[in-house]
Amino acid sequence: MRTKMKQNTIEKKISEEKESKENTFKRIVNWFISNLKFLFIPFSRYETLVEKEYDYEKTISKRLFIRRLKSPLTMIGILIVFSIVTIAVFQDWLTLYPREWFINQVYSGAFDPPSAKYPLGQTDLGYDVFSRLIFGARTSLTIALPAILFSVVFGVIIGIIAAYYSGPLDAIIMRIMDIMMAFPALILAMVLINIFGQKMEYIMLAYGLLGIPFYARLIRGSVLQAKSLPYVDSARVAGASNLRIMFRHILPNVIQPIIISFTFDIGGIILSLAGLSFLGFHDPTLIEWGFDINKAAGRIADAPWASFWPGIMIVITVLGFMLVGDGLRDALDPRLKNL
Amino acid sequence: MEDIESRNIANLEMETDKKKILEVKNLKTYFYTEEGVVKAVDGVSFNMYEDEVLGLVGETGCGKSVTALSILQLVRAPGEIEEGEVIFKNVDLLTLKKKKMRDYRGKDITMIFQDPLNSLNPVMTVGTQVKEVFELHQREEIYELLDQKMLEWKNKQNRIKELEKKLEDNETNQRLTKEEISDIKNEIEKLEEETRDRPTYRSILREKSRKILEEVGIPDPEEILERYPHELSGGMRQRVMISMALSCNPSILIADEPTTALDVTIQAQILDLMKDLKNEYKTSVLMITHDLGVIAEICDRVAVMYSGNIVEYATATNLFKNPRHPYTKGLISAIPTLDKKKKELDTIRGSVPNLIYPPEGCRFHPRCDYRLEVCDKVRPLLTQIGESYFVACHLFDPQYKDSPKYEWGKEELERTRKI
Repeated sequence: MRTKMKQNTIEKKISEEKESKENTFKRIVNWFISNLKFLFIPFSRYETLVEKEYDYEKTISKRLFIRRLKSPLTMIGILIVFSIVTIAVFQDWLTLYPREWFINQVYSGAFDPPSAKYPLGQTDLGYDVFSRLIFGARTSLTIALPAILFSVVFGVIIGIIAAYYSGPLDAIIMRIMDIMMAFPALILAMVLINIFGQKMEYIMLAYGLLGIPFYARLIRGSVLQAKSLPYVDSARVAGASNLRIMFRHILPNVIQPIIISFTFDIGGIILSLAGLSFLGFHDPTLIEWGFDINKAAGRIADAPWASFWPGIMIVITVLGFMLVGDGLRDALDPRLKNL
Repeated sequence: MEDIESRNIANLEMETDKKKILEVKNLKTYFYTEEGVVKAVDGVSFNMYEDEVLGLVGETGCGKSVTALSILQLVRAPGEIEEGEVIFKNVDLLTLKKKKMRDYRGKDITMIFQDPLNSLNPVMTVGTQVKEVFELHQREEIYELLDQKMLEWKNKQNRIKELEKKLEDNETNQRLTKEEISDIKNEIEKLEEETRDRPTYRSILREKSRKILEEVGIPDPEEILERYPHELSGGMRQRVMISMALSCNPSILIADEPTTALDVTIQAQILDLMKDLKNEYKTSVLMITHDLGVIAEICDRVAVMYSGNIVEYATATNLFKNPRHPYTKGLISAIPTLDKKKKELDTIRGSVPNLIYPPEGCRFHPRCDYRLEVCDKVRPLLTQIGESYFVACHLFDPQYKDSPKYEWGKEELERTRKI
C-alpha cells in the first residue's frame, strides 16, 4: 500500500518537473525553494536522506532473504513438503479405493504384482499399495506435528522460565530435563503403548514428552544471552511484568533456532514413527508406511513392490522436511551455515 | 559511628525553596561475587528537588549506574540492596512489593540508557514499543478518552441525521432559502469528513504515540512508528527512548550517560532536547555522566562520586568555581584547555581502587596529594562547609583539619605513577 502511494507521489513529482521545465524562470524559483527548505526547516534534508536509505535497505534485505531461500535444494524440499501436505489433505480424492476398504477386510491376490486395477501391486491382505501410500501421508503428519508442537510449546515455556529466573529454579528444571533426555524415546514409547494400549495419542505423547528437553535447552541458551541485553532493561524500566518481558520481548528475539529445529524434527519424528510401527507398535485403525514395510519385509525377494514404495515415501518425506529445515537455517541464521 | 552517620544524613538539606522530590539515604548495594563482596554503592545519600537537574559524576566503576538502578530496584543478581531508604513522595520505595514497584517504574520514575543502539527491541516496531508504555500505565485514561470521543462522534452523527431530515422536510414545504440549503450541505460534508473514522482504542493509542514522537523532534512520526529500530540512526533512537521515558509524564527521569554513544553534534541536540523537555514537563532529571561538559551545560546541582561514595555535593556553579575535594579538583584540572599549552595533560595518579578490598579510611587517600595522617584511619563523612555545600574530606572537617600532613615517600609516588 505504502509503496503504491509512494509510486503515485513519484509520478506526481515527475509530472511536476516536466511542467516546470517548460518555464525556465519557474524552474529556477523551484530549485531555490527546494534548497532553501534544507536551510530553514530542521531535519528536512535528513528526512529525505533517511527516506531514500530506508527504501534502499528494504529492497536489499528482501532480495537477500529470497535469494538465500532460493537455493535449488531448498526449492526441491519446499516442493516435496508441499506435495506431501497436498496428498495428506486431499487423500480422499486421490485414492483409488475408499478408506473403508482397508479396515478388517481381506481380498484375493496377496502380494500380486502391479496390474491395471492395482497400479503398484497388492499387499499381504490384497490391499492396493498405492492407496495405502496416500493414506499413510496423513497419518505421518497428524502424528508428527502435534507431537512436535507439544514439545515446542512446553520446551519453550520451561526453557524461558528456567533461564529468566536462573538460580536454584534453573538448576532444578535443567536437571529434570537432563533426566528426561536420558530416556530412550523408542523404548519409552513401547512401554507407554504396552501399558495404555495401541493408540495414536500415546505415541504422540511419548514423542512429545521426550522432545521437551531438547527445545528447553535450545531456548535456555539464547535467553541467558538475551536477558542481559539493554532492551530487556528498558522494558523493565517501562514497568513491564516478568511474564510480559519473557514472552513479548525476549521470545520473538530467540525463536529463530526453534523454527529451524522444528522443521528438522518433523522428519525425525516421522522416521521414528515408521520405526515404531515397523516393530509392530502402532494404532491398528491407522494406515502407516512403517507397518506396511513390516508386513511385506518377509517377502522382499519375490514381492519387492509391497515394501519398496512405502520405504520410498518415508525417505522422500523426511528428506523434504530436512531440506526445508536446511534452507531455513541458511536463510534465517547465516552464522550456522557451516555446522 | 552510627551516630555520626545519622547526623550526616540529617544535615544534607540544600538551601532552596524548591520541594524535595526524592531522598536517597545511606544506600548500600553490594555484589556477592565469587571473589568477594563488591561494595559498589556504600552509603550514598542525596536529595533531588522538583524541576532541577542533579548531576552524578565520577569515573567508570564508581557506582553511578548502580545507584540509579538501585533507585528503581533493577539491580541484577548477584547484586543486592543491603540497606538504605529511597523516599519518593513520602513512600519508601525499597519497602514496596514488586508489583507496586512496577507501577512506579515508567510512570513516576523512568530511565534512559547510555546505549540507544541496543535499548530498543530489535524485533518490534518503534510504534509497538512506544504504545506499550501507554498501555502499561494509562489504560484507564485511554478508555476514558475513548468514551469521550465516542460521545462526540455519536453527537456528530446525530447532527448529520438531523440536518438530513431538515433537507428532506424542505422538499415538501420549501421553507428554506437557497443559501440555507447550501450551508446545511456544507455542514453535512464537513461533519462526514470528521466522522469518517470511528474512534477506537488503537486509534487513540496511535494518536498519542504520534504526538509524543513529534514532541521529541522526530520528523514524520507516522512513518517512524512503523519502522524497526535498525532502520533509525543513533540520535533518532535516543529520541525515541526519550519519548518513551517521557510518555507518562514522570516526576523523575534518570539519564544514564544518555549522550555517550552519540557523536558530538547529536550530543548537543539531545542535551538541548532534554533541557527543553525538562522545562516543559517539569521533570526532575538525575543526569549520570563522566563528562563534566555535560554537567556544566544542564545541571543545577552536582554530586561527585568516588568508589561507591559521594565525596562532594553542591550546586553546579559553586562546584565549578571552587572545587574543594581533592578528587574533584583533579577531575576539573584534567579537562584539557586551549589557553594553556602543555606537553602532558594533568591526571590523577594511580587508578580506581578494587571495590572488594577498598582502602581503609578515605577511599581516595592512596591517590590524594593533600593526604593527612588520619586519612587512612578514619572514614570522612559528608559535612556541610558552606551554603549548600557538602564535602566528605578531612581537610574541611574541624575535628581533623589540623592533623599533620602525610609525607609521600619518593618510592610510593613512583609506584602510583607507574599504575
